[in-house]
Amino acid sequence: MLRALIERLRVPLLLLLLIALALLAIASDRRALARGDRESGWLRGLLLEVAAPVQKALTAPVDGTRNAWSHYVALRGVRDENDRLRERLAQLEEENLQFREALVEGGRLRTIAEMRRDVEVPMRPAQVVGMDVSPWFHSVLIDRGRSDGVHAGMPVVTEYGVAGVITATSPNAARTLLLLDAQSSIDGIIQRSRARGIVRGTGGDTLEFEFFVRGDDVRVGDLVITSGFGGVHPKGSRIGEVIEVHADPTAFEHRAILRPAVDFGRIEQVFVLLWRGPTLDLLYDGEGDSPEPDPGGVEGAPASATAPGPAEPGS
Amino acid sequence: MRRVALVAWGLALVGLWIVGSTATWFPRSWLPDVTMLVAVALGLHVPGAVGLVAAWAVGGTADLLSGGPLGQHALLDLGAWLLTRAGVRRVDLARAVVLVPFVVALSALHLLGQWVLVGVPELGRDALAIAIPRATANAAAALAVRRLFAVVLGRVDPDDSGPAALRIDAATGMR
Repeated sequence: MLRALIERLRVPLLLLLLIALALLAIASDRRALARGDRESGWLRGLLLEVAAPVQKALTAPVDGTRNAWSHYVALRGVRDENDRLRERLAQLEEENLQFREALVEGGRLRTIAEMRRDVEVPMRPAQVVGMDVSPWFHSVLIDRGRSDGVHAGMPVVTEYGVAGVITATSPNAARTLLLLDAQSSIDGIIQRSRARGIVRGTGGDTLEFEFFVRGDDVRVGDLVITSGFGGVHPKGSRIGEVIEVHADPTAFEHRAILRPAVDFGRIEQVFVLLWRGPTLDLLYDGEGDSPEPDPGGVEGAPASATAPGPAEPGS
Repeated sequence: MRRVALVAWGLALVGLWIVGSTATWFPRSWLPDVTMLVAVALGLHVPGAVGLVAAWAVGGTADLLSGGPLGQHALLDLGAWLLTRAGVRRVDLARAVVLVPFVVALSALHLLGQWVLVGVPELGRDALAIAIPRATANAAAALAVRRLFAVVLGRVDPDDSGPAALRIDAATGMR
């Protein structure tokens, strides 16, 4: 009797169990994301590990065709450009020589080299081998993982600015949550007025900047950079440019729309900063997961990813 | 039947890889929701507990390969399987003229379900600009996936290549 009842309820019970498991996964994953420690489990790691080489192979023919075309286009008029570049190179070499001479004479070269080591963050270039399978979420699969020193919580940039943050890793692959994703948020400041706020992904092609200061501290055309307060991204990297301001004088909270500094539609190569903010390092403390700068990495963040502006102590 | 479910999962995984790679150079809104279509195919061909678990696993795999919250695809694809099973009882989903509108409706429900579960996307014009091409891609791909399933399942399990509309589990009443 009981056996028959169990047999009869097998499928409905299984259904309830699977629904409960999925709801539990959604809740716990959202909590982990809010805490910033959404490191992958072994199953996600295994799938990433297998997916990266397969997707790299699948994108290879398209990348090859695209590269061949861009090389062909680039070759046109390359002679004129070469002549111009040679001339420019000669000028720069001359300038460089003069600067070097001045620095060595002042005995500052060594000091500057030491400062470079302290301030700049080692980074690892990575190729984007796959996009998110859902159009509602913005993440990319990259071909570098834990064996390259890449860990969850590390910032990802391109030469134009902030791209996102690593959320899951396997030995040779990692998933990066892009700034555009609706789950993404980052602390930012207006470079001109130093007005501070939160930049959130909208899930579309733009970003949203929520701020609490006077409306006129944020204007169209202002550059928003990382504040360093969020503990994920180092201070001073470009986030985007203000294209719309919705500042209601009666409201406490204002909103601006940003055009991201990075063109996410054409993202092919990224740089993982081999650095994790102190907040995230606390989360991973004792797990042996703390990243060490790798001498094999490319030294220094890309110069243009860091916005020019008033120098302040890093966070 | 378990072998069929395993093959379905394998097809979904390959489909996810292809979609993930294609999305690097092709507009993502025009790419189909592979796991939803596999869940529909499972609903057509694999009834009972095996189909249920397979649809959940297929969605779970999409969750693991996506940057979205874990569990949402698993739940939504489970829903797609259940609705397909319910649809199989009432209409002939094997016919293209029935399957295409069914998949379009399912795509809309999928979107609403996702919004309810994780609040993404924000419903509005921007969401529609993605949802309409995606539903179109789903409808077009549904026919190809149905055909692919019929061929593959015909090889894996020759007795199981047709939609399982007439299979009734005597114990549970679920088909």
